[in-house]
Amino acid sequence: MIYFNGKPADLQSLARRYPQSGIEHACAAILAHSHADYNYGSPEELDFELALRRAIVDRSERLRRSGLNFETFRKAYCNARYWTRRPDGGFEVRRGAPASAAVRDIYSNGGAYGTECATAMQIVYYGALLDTVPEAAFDNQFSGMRLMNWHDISPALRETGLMDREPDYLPGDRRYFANPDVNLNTPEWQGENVIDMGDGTYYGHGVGRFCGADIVADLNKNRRPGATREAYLMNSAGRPNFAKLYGIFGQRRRASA
Amino acid sequence: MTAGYLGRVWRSQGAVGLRAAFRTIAKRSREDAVKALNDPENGFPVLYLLAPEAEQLGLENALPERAKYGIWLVATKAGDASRAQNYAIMLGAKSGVDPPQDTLKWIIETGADWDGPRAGRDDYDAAIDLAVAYFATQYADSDTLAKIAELIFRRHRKGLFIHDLVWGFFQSANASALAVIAKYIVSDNNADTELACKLLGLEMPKNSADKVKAYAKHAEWLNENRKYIYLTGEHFNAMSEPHHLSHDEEAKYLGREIHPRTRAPYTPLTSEELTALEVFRAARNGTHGGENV
Repeated sequence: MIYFNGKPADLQSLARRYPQSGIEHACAAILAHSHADYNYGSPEELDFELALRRAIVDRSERLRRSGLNFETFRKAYCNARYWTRRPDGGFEVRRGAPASAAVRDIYSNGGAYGTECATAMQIVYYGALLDTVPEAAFDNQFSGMRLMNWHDISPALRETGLMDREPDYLPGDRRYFANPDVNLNTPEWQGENVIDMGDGTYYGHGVGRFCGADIVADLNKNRRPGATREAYLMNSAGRPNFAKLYGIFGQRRRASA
Repeated sequence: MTAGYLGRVWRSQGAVGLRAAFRTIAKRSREDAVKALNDPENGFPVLYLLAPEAEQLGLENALPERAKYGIWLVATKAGDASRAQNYAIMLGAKSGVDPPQDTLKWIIETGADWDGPRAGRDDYDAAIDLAVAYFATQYADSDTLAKIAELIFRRHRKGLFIHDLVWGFFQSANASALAVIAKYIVSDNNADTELACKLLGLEMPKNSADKVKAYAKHAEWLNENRKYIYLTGEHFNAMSEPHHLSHDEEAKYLGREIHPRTRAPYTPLTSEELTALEVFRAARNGTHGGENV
């Protein structure tokens, strides 16, 4: 159930606030009908979370279509105009390059980049924030941005690297398909980071956009000989701390978001 | 790491000098070239560097068997199916290559001190990671785990990629892996301490005295929980603060040792133990998730 400042939200006004069939509506419906309590300081804070969730889903689809290649960290590469490749396979925004331009380049010039699925999730989050907050605020917050897996995350997005069991799973959540019996030769198939797209499909860089059963089948093809355990969707999610992000950016949302 | 003649040439003249020296030997006598390849003092890096020469000279079958396994690992990681298959055939592998323990140990022990021709961006160190995963999964022993840990921390100090190596290391599902990592808590190098704490799920100590305290506390914890350690399946690909190995609280409550890979007790629980477990679960209900023995 949704609360604003400790008071139950009015379901009818929520229904009016978020148009039918949109990601925001789907998320609001799950939150409103949950047995768990979801507290927000204001309707605007809820707006912020739902807009960001919608942007995460939109950016996932855009990244899927961007031509971004899959590469293991050892062979990862990036557009040297905006990024420096670090020895561990991560990327770092070049000094003087705005983080916003560097992130946009990945979406518009995806073929110039190759990386693993966890990095793609970071790119989705940054792309979604670009759609949600003013560019200047984004550049200020993420100056010198680094992209790798969950090892090196901006403090503002630290919580995306933590996987917690949640009472509800929503569109825009980061989920993980684990492959416990992965073939030792291909550790890159030890699991797949995905975004819940809200329509029964998940986007994962390297696998594409498919339903859970298809992703499990893909992972199962990369198990070690004699494997006994199937791949599965973990009962947990990684999420940005939306309240924290609202605190950082909420008062400066993009007019169109 | 590599003390034989070819190893000394590599040390003093680099890869180019090594290859030239080998070609000179091969020109003089094919038999001598075979002998040189089979010098037991050769480490994996030397044979890795000479394998392409041996292949060009049609001498790959004369490589020692442990080098063939090593090159199979390299070709596998490089995605070079034809080369991998060639070595698999030479090894007589009909249903998959399974490198033996002493071979993996040799690859790790002689190969871990070098990062490869392009320092962490080639298939050499990827093959080392793969050797570690094979070794840890099947044969982990404390000495070799310590050597692998050295490699993890050395690569980390250089800023190189370590996540596959860390993942392979913990595939040992061996409590000794935690003890080996814990030694780096008290390192003079704070980067070592930071990584050790991250891998063990500990707070970063503020000073040297705190490092010693943290190490002692972890040793005590490990001693108390060694029988209940299991492989969680968590790793850096999925999350930022993985606990690769953890302890099972229910098993500890019952005092029942568990299998570190399956998390199951070695013998079925008795009805009394099952009842006790229900009481334990009820007592902690609402404070912890449902972990099962």
